[in-house]
Amino acid sequence: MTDHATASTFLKAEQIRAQAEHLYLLPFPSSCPRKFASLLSQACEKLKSVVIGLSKRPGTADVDRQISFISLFLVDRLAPTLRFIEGASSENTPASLVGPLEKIGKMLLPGAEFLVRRQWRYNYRVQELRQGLGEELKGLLSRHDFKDLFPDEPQKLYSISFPSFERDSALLHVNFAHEIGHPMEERYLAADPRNQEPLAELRTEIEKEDTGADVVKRAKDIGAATSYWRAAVEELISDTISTWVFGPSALFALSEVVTLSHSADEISKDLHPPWRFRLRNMLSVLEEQGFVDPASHELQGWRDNAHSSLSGVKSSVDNWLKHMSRVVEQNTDWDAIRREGIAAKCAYESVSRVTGSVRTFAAQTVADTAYTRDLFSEEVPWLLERLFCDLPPNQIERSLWDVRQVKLASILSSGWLYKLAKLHPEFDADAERYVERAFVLNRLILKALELSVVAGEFMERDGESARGAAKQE
Amino acid sequence: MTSLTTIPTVYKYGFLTSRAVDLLNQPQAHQIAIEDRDVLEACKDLVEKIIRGEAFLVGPNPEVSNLRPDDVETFNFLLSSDSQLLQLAKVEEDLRSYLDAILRTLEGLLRDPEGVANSERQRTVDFLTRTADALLASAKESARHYPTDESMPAAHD
Repeated sequence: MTDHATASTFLKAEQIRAQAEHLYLLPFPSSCPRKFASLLSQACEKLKSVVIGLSKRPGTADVDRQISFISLFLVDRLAPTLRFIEGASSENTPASLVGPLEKIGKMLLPGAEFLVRRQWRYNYRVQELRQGLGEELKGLLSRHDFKDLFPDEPQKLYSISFPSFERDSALLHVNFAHEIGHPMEERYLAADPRNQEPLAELRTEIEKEDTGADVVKRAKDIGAATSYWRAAVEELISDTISTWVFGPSALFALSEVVTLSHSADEISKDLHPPWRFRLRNMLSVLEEQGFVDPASHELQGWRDNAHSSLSGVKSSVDNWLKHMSRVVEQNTDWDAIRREGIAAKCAYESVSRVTGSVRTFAAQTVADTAYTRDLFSEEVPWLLERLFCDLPPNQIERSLWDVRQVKLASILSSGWLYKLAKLHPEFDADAERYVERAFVLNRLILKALELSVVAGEFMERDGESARGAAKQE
Repeated sequence: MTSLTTIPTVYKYGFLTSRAVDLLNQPQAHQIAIEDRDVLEACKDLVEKIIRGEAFLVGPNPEVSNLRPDDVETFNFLLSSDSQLLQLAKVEEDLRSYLDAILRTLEGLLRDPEGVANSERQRTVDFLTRTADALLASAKESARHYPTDESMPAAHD
C-alpha cells in the first residue's frame, strides 16, 4: 500500500503544475516567463511519474529517502520559483524597460535569457533559474525524461529582481546593468589563464600567514579566501560594466541602494565587498572614462552655458561628486577588511592587484554598447531641456525635420541630472511638491523609454523594408 | 558566505547519492543498465571532485579550477557532517587513501561489477548513505528557511 508521504508528494507536484499553468496565462512583457512556466509544469509531470514508479516498489529506507528528497525539492525549489513568474507579469514590472534591458543582457551574455521581476526585499539581485534546475533534475530523471524536458542543453535564464515598490523608479533600474554583469565572473576567469593565477597564489599567501594552523583550519581559510576573492571580483566586474554601459548614472543609482545594504566598511554576510570599496572603484572608472576630472572631482566636458535653462546643473552634480570623493577617500573599509581575518586580508590584497585586468576585461566585454563622455555631453543637455519643459526625454528635436533618437543611457542620465539639480532642491522648499515632481519625473522617463522602444522598432522595420525594396530594384 | 545548511548542490547530489545507494543495495546484476551507469558515473565524478577539492589540493597537478566554490562547499559540508571523514581529515594521507578507495570501487563497478569485493562495495554504500543522509538533513533545514528575497515575517515558529 502506498504510504501517506508518497501520495502527498504526488499531490504537491500536481498543485505546483496547476499553478504554473495558471501563471502561464498572465500577460508578460516578454516570452521568457511563459517559457519558464511551461518548463515547471512539465518538470512536475516528470516528477509525478518518478513518484508513481517508486510507489510500486516495496517500501524500504532507500525508497523513502528518494521520496523525501522529491518532496523537499518540490516545496523548497520548485514551488518558490512560481513567484519569479508571478513577479514578472506586465502588471508587476516596469514593462517599457524590460525590452531594452533584455537587449543589453543579450548583448553582454549571448545565449542567455532574462526574466525581470519584482521582489519584496529591498535589493537588486540576479539568479540563474533554468540551468541550475536542469543540473538538479539530471540527478533524478531518466535520460529519456531529461531529454524530453531539455531537448537541448539547458540555457541560462537569469532572473533580475528589483525592489517591489520601486517598480516605476526607472532611474534606479540602472542597477540592472550591474546585475547583468554578475555572471561575467566565470568568463573573466576563463578569458585568460593569467586571470586565474592570483587564485592559485592565495594558497601560498594563506600558508605564509597561517603558520601553526592545522590542516583543516588552513583548508577552510583557503576556501574562505577563495570565496572572498571571487565575490569581490564579481562585484568589481559588475560595477565596472554598469559604469561602462550607463556612465555616471551607474554611480548615482548604486549610491542610492548600496547604503541600505550593509555597513560602509564591513564585508557583508553574503560576501559583498564594503560599499566604500565599490564606490571608490566606480568613481575611479568614471575618471578613466573621462566623465569626472580626477583632480577637481567635477563633471568633465559639460557646458551649462550651451543651454541657458540648464545653468546650475553642473554645479549641483559637481557638489555631489565632490561629496562622493570625500566618502571614498577614507580607508576605513581596509581597516575592517584586515580585522575580518587572514582570509579576507589576503583575498582583498590580491583583488586590489587585479583591478586593472578586471577593468580591461569589463571594458572589452561592453565595447559594443559602451556609453562615452562625448555622447553624454552631446545628447543629455538636449534631453534635459525637454525634461525642464515636462516632455519625455526620448529624442533630440532640433527642428521638425531634424529629429534624432538617443541612447538609453542618455535618457536615464538626463533623469538623474534633473533629479540631482532640480528635484532635490524642491524638497527643501516644499516636500509635497517634491513628491509630486518625483512622480512626474518617473512617468516622463518611463514614457521616454516606451517611445524610444517604439521608435527603435519602427526604424528597424523601416530599415528592413528599405533594404527589401533596394533588393527588388 | 553560503551556509553549510543551504549548499546549492544539496538536491543535485542528494538525488544522485540516494539513487546510487538504492541501486547498490539491489541484488547484483551481471550487466549494469544504462540509466544505472549514468548514476554511478555521476557519483564517480562527485568523488573525484571531492578529491580534487580545494581544501587539500591532493590532485597530482593541482590546478586553479580546483578552487571552484562548489567543490569547496561540498567538501566542507561533508567534513562537517561526517564525523568519520572529519577524523580521517586530521591526517591528509588517510583521507586521500579512503577517498581513493571509494573512487576505485566506483570505477570497478562501472568496469566489472562482479570483480568488486563485497567489503569494498559496502564501504562505498556506507559512504554514499552517510552523504545522502547528511544532504537530506540539509535539505530539510533549507526548506525551513525563507527565500532571501522575501521579507521575514514578524513571528514564526
